[in-house]
Amino acid sequence: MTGGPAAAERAETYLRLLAEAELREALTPPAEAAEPEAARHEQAGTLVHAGRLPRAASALAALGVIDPDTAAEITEGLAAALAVRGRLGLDTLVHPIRRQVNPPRPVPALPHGVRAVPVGRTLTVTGADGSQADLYVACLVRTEGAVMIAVEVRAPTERTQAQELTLPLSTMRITDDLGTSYQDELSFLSQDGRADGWLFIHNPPRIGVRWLEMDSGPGTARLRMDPAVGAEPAPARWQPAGATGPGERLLDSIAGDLLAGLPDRRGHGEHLGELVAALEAAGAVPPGNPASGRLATLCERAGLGAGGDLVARLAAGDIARADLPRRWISVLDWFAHPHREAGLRGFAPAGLALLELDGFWFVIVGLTAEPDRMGLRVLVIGRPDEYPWTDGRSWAGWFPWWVKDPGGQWHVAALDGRRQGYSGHMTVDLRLVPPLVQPVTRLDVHIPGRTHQMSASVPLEWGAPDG
Amino acid sequence: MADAGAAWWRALPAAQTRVQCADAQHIIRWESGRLVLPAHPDTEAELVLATLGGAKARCVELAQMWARYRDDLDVLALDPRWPSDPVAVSWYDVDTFAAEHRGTRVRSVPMRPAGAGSGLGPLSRPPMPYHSRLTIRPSAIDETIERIATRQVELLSLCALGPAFQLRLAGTVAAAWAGRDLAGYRPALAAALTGRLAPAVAGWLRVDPGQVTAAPHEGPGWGSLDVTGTGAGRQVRARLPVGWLAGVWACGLAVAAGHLVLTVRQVRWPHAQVLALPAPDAAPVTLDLRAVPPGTPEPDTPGGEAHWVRSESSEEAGSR
Repeated sequence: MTGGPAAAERAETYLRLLAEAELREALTPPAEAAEPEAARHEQAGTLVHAGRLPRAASALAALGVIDPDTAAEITEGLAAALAVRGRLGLDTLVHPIRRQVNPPRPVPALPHGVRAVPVGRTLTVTGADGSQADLYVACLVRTEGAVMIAVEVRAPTERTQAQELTLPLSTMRITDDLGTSYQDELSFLSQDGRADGWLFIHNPPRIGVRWLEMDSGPGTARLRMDPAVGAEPAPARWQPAGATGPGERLLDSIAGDLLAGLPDRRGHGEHLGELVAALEAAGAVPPGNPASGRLATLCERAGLGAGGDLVARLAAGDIARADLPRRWISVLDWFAHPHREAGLRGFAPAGLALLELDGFWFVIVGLTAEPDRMGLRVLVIGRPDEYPWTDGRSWAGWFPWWVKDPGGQWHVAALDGRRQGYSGHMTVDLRLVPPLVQPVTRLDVHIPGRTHQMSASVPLEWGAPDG
Repeated sequence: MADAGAAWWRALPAAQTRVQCADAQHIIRWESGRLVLPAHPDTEAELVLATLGGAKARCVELAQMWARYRDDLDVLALDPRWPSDPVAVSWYDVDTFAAEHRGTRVRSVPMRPAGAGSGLGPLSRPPMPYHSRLTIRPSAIDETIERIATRQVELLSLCALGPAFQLRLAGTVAAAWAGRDLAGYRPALAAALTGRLAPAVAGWLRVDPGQVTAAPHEGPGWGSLDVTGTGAGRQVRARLPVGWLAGVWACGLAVAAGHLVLTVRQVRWPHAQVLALPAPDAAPVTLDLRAVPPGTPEPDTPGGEAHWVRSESSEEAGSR
């Protein structure tokens, strides 16, 4: 547990007293006539699933201040107490069963010797029916247990929407220079019908293999990759994270997410004041900490309508205003002035982009540019314990990233989607806000961590040169 | 604390209820801190027979559950926070939940007709096969489901005994924790104390119950009570021994005669001598109290608890 047993006990006490308060308030009869049963159940259901208690419990569990099972037990205890008082159906008592028979998957040990090879070439592949598709190969990642090849299926010619883009896996072959075929070891993992995904070789080539060659049958085009000459971890610069604890990092992470919402003018922080109060009461952030002040000041300045209760505390003098970090101001200023539309389209593979931090490998696959969205595609090897009730906050310790372009403009790269892979591999999409307006060949990427922040210079290759 | 030990229950009258035990309605009684099963005078013999494949009576199962949960803090998390707190679980609820979430429906059959006397004696009919609720199934997942569901059915069953038994079981659990090493359990006990002290203090001092918190007091003496702020911002912070939940709260003594009761010094139902605070900033005083029974409790309607008034001969005496 982050913060040790004393911090865990304080957080547990806070949550249990909050549960008591929620139960008491739920049982306090309203001044008007008795509510119908359905309304009482709905109110109690909201308390248990979306109220102050689950919000605080998920934040504290995600921070590691309290054991996630303990946090879940407290929420389930409130549900049980409401159920035996007729405020919820007794079937709500099955929640602990669901949780205990579906424990989080164990975190696999971090593999050693991870290598990443930028490829950035396109191979035309042919299916058994003669249909063709272009397979863009972004990079190859080799771990102890697998070889993963980041690919994107592209149409060689313009297609109608009804024409499906599929990978002709049945005809695809990968062989090595020693004559070994990996055709039976191949699988393609994509999600939601996306054209991009990972081609896996589950039984990886032996050490000493000089090259792997991909084709879709005799006489078809071939693409050769060298799995041995992988990128070493990118040259990284390390900086101590300073005195900030996990609670303050969570608040800064939320601030980054708020900045990433600027293009849509959306603020998704209606309970930020409550969250800050919970973190303070549970001892996860010290009173008067600058992160609370920064977040409140950002909410006030960004005008997103987020964190109204936090801004009110700012106005009341309960929280002190704080200077905003330069990178936040850079993003705010960008949106304060009109900009021409980003004209970039396509995919820029990243080279030499293998980064290790806090027991994770981050492989920056590349940068995608679409009409309404620009982002980094990143493979994460290793992952934090993730419980469904922590609301995705398990990742708050390592995201969002901050990216500085050669022109000095800062961009926030916030989590925009996660796609689960095999055995602890996950592809994450980071939305880059504001977008780049012109191609750049290099980005400075800054990644937050538990004890250190890491920064590295990542080269980009626009134009996706074909091989 | 005089009330935190084995005799915490002396300020509570007996209570009883009826449960359906196979095809009969049996009385279950609580008196002097323990459950009594008049219809099953030789429960040990019944248990021996049950281990040999005989059926186990629901009354006997309930007595076993009572014993198993006598120090289980989940009881305090479920059971009432104040006398009219509406914990209402019916036997229909229990059976329905058991049927839906466990491998087999709860079966309960008396080993012999009620009043058949003690000892093994001749059975009136062959024992019915007992369908164990812990039916062994191969997968660990099934075992986990069975274990959790069984626990929930048992907690619901104890709730179904009714409010008088809920209060008495809560007192039993709290008494079991009095004097124990609380390491690792302070948050749950703080919640148990806060959940029960807050409504009492809210009525006593006219403060928002949300502004009242309590933590376990683990040293000598009765603990402490601090009131800060004014108006809507008035806050009450208390430290009380866990035994307060048993000897004081569960006995309906939390607030009596306008005082917050801290400990029970002497008690013999319906009389009690207590140490109590007339006001937050006042010194504790000794009060003599008398219980006013709610009327003769009827079986199945054991909800009415006594309330306490000052004895006519009582005089406040300063005390530490």
